[in-house]
Amino acid sequence: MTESNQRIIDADDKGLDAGLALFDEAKVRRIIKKVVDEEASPRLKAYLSTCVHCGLCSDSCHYYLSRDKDPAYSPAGKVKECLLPLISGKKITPAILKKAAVVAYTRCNLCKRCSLYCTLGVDIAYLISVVRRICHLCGVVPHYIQDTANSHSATFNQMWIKDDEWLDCLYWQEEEAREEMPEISIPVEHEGADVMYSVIGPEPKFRAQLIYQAAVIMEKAGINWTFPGTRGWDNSDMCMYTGDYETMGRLKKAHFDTAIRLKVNRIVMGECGHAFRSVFDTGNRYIGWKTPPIPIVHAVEFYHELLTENKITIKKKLATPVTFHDPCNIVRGSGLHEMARTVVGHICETLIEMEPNREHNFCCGAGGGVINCGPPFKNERVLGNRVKAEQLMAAKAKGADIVITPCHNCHGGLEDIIQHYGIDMEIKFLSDIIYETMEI
Amino acid sequence: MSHTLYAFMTGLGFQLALAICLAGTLFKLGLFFKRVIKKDAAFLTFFSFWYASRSILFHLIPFASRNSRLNPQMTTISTIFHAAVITLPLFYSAHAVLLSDSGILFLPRFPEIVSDTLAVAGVAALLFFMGRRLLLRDVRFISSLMDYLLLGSLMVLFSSALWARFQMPGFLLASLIHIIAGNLLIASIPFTRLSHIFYMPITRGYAGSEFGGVRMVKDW
Repeated sequence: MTESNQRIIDADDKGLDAGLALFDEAKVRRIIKKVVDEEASPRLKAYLSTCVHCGLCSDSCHYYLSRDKDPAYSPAGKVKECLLPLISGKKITPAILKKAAVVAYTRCNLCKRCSLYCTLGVDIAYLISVVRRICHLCGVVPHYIQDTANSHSATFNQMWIKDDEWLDCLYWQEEEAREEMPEISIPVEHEGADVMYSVIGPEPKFRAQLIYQAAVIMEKAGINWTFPGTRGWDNSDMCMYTGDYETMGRLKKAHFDTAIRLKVNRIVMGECGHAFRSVFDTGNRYIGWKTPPIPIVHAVEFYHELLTENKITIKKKLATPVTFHDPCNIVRGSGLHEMARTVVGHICETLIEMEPNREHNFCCGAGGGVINCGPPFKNERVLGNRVKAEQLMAAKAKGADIVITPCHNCHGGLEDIIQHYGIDMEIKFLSDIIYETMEI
Repeated sequence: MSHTLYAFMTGLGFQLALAICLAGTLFKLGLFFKRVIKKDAAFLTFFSFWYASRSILFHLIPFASRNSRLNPQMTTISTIFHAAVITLPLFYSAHAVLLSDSGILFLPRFPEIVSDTLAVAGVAALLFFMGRRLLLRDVRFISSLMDYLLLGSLMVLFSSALWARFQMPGFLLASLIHIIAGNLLIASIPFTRLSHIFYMPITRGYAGSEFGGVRMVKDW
C-alpha cells in the first residue's frame, strides 16, 4: 500500500471524543431533524434527489486525485460517507457520527471546485456544511478548530489576543517601521478615514511584519486609513466552518459595526481568503445584508488599484521567476484571478503558471477550516493534496523558485506540502514582494 | 386480455401516467418554492435568470464546459442518449400517430432511419452507462439499487421498442412491455432521480446565479 492510498480510519481527537462521550441518539436525531427540516435550504433535498450518481465530480477533487482515486474521497463519495448515514433514518451510533465529523471537517475544503464540474449544479460544499452544522450542534467538533471558535466567541479574534495586546502590537510595528521611515504612523481609531484596514488574528500573533509592510504601502500610496482599536479588527471566521453560524453572525456584525462607527468609506482586507468569504459572501447574508453594508476590498483589488493608478512606484521588478497559487475563496469566491495576475505582472519579471489555474485551480488543502483542525489531521491533509505538490514541482521544473499566494491559509497549506514533498520553493504574499520592490 | 391492456395503456393509462407526472412535478416544485420562501431568502435574492441561463447553457452545450472536455466519451454518449430519450417519445412515427390520433399533439415525424439509429444509439448508451456503474470504482461506490433499477427500466424501454419496431418474434408482447415501461417511467419522473429533468434548471441555475452574480466568476 502506498502512502497516498492509506485511508486514515480512526482519528484520535479529544474534541470529537469529548463530544461523543455525551452521545445520545435521541438528541442527535432531534438535531438532525431540526437542521434538515427547519434550517437547511430546500436545495438540500433537491440536490440529493437530482444527483444521478454519475461520478463526473470525482476528478474535480484534489483529495480523490491525490488518494489514488479512492472513491470514498470523491465529492459524491464523501456525501455518501457523511450526510446519507445521518439522514437515512437508520440507527445512528457514535462511530457513524464520528465518521461524519471526520469526513466533513477534514476531507473537504469547501472549495466549491466540484460545483463547476457537476452539470446538475449539485453544491457538495453546501451538503458538507450541513453535516458540519449538525456536528456543531451535537458538540462533536475537532478540538483545535473548536478552540479557535471559542476564541472568536470570547475575544472576537481567532488567536485569544487581548484588546491591549492588539494595540501593543500596532505600536510595536509602528516603532519598527519608524526605523526605516521616521515620519510613518499607524493610525488607530481615525474617524472618517477612507479605509479601515482589517486583518486576521494570525497577523499580530505570528506575522506581524505584514502590519509593518501594510503601513509602509499605505504611507507611500498616500491612503487615508485606519486600524480599529477595538474588537472588530479581526475579519477572520472559523465559526463559519465549524457550523457555529450564531457566532459567525456576531463576528461579522462587530466587524461591520466597527467600520460604520469609524465612518470609513470602505474596508480593505489583508491577504486572506476565508475571511474574505466570510465578510463578502457568507457572514453578511447571515445577518441579513444582501451585500456587505460597506464596500469590501480584498488586498488583491487594493494592490491592483495602487499599481494601475500609479499610487506606488515599483523601482525594479523581482527577477526571480514566480508561480501564482489562486486562493479558492478569492477566485471561485470573487473572480479576482486576472487582477492578481496584473499585480504580479507589475512586480515580477516572470510568472510561470501552474495548470490548471484561475477558477479551475486546485485548493491548497488548508481551506475550509481543515488546517485549523490541527495536528491530528495534518497527515490526512498533506496526503490529500499530492496533486498540488505535483503542480508546484512542475512549476519548479520550469524555473519558478517562489510561489505567491495572497491568502494566509494557503500559506499554511502550501508550507506543509512543500515540506512534506521536499519541494525547494519559497512562499510569499503579494505584499512581501510589493514592499521589497517599491520605491520607499 | 392483451388488447384490453394495450388499449388501457395507450389511453387512460397514458393519461394517468402523464397526470401523475405533471401533478407530482407541480407538487414537488410547489413544495420547493414554498420552503424557499420560508427558509431560503438567499435563493430568491440571488437567483438571476441571466446568470442561471448562462450557466445552464454552458453545461448543456457539449464540450463547452471544462469537465465535458475532460470526459469526451461520456459527453458524446450522454448527449446522444439525451437526444434519443427526449426526441423519440415525440417524433418517432408510431408515437406521433398515437399522439395525433388522441388529438393531443400534431408533430412532425422522424424518418425511420433517424429514429432507428437513435434507438440503437440509446441502447448502446445505456450499456455504456451500466458498464460505468459496474466497472468504475468511484461510480460503483455511490450507486444504489435505485440507480441500477432506473438504468434497467430504461434498458427494457429501449430494447422492447426495438424488438417491437423490427417485429421480431413476440413483438406484440414486446410492444405491450414497452408501453407499460414507458408509462411507469413517465409517472416516476417526480419521485426518482429522473426529477433532475425539472430540478436541473433550479440547481444549476442557482449555482450559476451565485457564481456569476455574486462571485463574478464563470462556472463551467
